[in-house]
Amino acid sequence: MTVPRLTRLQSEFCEFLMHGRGQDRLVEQLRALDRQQSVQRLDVYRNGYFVRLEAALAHDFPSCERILGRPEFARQAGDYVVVFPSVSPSLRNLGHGFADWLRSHKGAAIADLADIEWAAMWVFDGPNSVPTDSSALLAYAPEDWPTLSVDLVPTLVLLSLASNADEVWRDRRDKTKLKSAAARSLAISRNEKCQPILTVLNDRVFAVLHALSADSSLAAVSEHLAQTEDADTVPQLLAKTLLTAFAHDWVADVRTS
Amino acid sequence: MIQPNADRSADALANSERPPRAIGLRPPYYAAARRGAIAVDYLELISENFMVPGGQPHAVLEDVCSQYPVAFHGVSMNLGGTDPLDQTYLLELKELVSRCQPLFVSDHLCWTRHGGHHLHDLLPLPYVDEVIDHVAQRIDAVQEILERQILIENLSSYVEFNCSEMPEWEFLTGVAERADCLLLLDINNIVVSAHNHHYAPQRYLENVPASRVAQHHVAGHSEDGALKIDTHDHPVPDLVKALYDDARVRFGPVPVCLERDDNIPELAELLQELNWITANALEQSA
Repeated sequence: MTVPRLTRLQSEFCEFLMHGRGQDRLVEQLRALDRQQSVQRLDVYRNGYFVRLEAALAHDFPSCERILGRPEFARQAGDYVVVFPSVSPSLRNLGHGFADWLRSHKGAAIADLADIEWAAMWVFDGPNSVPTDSSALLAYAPEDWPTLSVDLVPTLVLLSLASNADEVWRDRRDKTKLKSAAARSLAISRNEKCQPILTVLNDRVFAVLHALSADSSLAAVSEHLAQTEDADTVPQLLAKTLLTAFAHDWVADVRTS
Repeated sequence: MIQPNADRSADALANSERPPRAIGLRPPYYAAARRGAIAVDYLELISENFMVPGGQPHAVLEDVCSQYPVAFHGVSMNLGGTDPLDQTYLLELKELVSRCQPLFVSDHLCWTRHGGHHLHDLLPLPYVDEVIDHVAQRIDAVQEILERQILIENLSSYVEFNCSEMPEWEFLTGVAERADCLLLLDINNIVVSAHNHHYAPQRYLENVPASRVAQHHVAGHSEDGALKIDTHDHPVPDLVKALYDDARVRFGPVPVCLERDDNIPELAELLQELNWITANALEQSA
């Protein structure tokens, strides 16, 4: 058994686990058992593979499982992992594309819910940062503000929803029906115990935060906003957004660009 | 580095006449561990659960490591694979090790990844000499990166390959000796594999070098027809307990960790089980 042969064996095993292909070829390579026993033993691995991955997704997307029902969730999870097998040493990362998968296969509302649950994971174990308050901004003279950059805390997640998924997520008693709704903007951040806090935002404030998350420079954000907002209102909108961000502990740093 | 509130040296534990005892720390027990309210000598943590950017896992780690000596047990090192070793993973593990100064760093004698795809299972290897060389070289590289000896754990398995040239214990020993690493002997895995592959579990113990056995795992399993399955969802059965007693006599009071991953009981119940498992060993050594 050279390393190339070991590679081939592992490739065949992997193909069987992930896609169920090449069972006969594998059976031939197993120590003398009758065929039925060999197949039964290989199935322990194949079944275990799917059960483990589906369980990981169910753990990370409990509200989606509740809304879809266990059988349909398991079907979606099973199909998802065939197309997007794990590429991370940790199962924690398996669901990175699950919201998009659900958007394509089950619609926008359940995808919104999956986005919220995925954001909650990031809030739980994302990078630590110490929020700063408005004194960090007030330390600079107003005329210097256009030269400043504002870094948002890395665990702040901004989501645009087309449903009432945030209400469904909050409703632990399972009374709220998931449905399409007028577009709404949501910020998800962490409390001191790393649990998620959902905040519904004014659309314009959301747009500024979104711009800030892409480019922290206040000058660049102002320029970006000027494309859609009346130029006179941009400073006021920016100030309102920054006050909101400071009030919610969403600002990590204020610095010169 | 997290400042410990306990002597976390392996020597301090090894000087004990009874086996130092641990449980595998799982989320339902995090709160008690953070308060230092689990009556064990050390705690074993799943490495990958703490290899995250920050947040709650880091807070848990900080508290636990300041209260207890810890061991890191991994499931994704892919020592038996043929994909290149994952350098990012190893550097993250090294960072974790450097922060917490664990008693042990362990993973499994298996493969877990192929073609960039992680299978999240502990998959068996053919027991042949060339594979011993291959795995030993990879362990060597890991030990160089981590700058410490690691422990490798024997698997539960359900198939064996017809090209295998030796029994599992000879393969395990060969790898440990060529890589100069230590052994984490999982007693439940021996019971499961011995049953599934029809050999006497005592033969396993008799053929493993005592000088390399640095830790034991004990756990329960389930049965599916004629097969035993390593599910960690039941209390330790009598068969495992009896073999652990034999191991205690042969290998001495090496640290032991009780693992439970499903149907997780109340902490008090798990600790009672740990006491029960280790009590016999004490009686035997008296």
